[in-house]
Amino acid sequence: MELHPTLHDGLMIVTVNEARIDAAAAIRFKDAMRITTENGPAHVVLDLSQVTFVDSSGLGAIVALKKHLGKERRLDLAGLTTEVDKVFRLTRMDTVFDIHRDATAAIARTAG
Amino acid sequence: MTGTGFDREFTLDAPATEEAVRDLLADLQARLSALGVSAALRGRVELPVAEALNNIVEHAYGAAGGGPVRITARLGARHLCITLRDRGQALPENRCAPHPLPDSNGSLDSLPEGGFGLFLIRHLTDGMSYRRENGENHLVMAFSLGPGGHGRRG
Repeated sequence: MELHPTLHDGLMIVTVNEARIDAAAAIRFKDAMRITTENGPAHVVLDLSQVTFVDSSGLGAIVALKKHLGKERRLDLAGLTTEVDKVFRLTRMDTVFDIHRDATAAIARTAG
Repeated sequence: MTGTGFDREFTLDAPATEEAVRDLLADLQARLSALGVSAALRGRVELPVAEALNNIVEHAYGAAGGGPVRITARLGARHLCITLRDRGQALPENRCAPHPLPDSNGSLDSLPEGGFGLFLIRHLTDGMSYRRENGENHLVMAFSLGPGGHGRRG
């Protein structure tokens, strides 16, 4: 699972450099994200702009990560591609996360 | 194949494992593309078929693991029909009960991490049916080719 974290003033952007977060990848994704975000900034943005497919297992892993970060920290999403955006909207999970157009917009909004 | 209303048809066989599902979905996309199925329709097909295959891996076979799954795709003038067959456990009461969307309005701790699969299959197909026959599960998912597709979206 290739994750690329970058730090921006109290914000961690984690870009997922994988095409799919599916049943075969969900557990690896969850474990890798827990390690990547451990001891990091309270505010994490998951950049999904390289991800073209998320199934319900991948969606469950992203929700589990939000729960893992807990109430004191925050997980936003950025850069949802067409089919990924559809999964979040259909399951109403778009109401659970703040969703930014892309990583740049997430950084700008946090700085502003 | 005459008289069925479907003039093009193919079959893919694989073991029901998470890794094999990935390859099977890629094969399905390639074969549909070769038949001239549009990228838009292929995009609509991928998620419900993925969810149905995941259910076969996780629930029908479960701990028994890796039994066979067969995908048959039939393309007609108005519909694409995808049938999945497996020899795992039947759905409860041999039927596919209505499946509501898990509630996402509660507290952080109560957010659902699963239970979306059958909801997504029902919502993203233009028709589906399930039957248990001769020790096999048969799940048929239909997709309309025309502009009237996505009939369940409204």
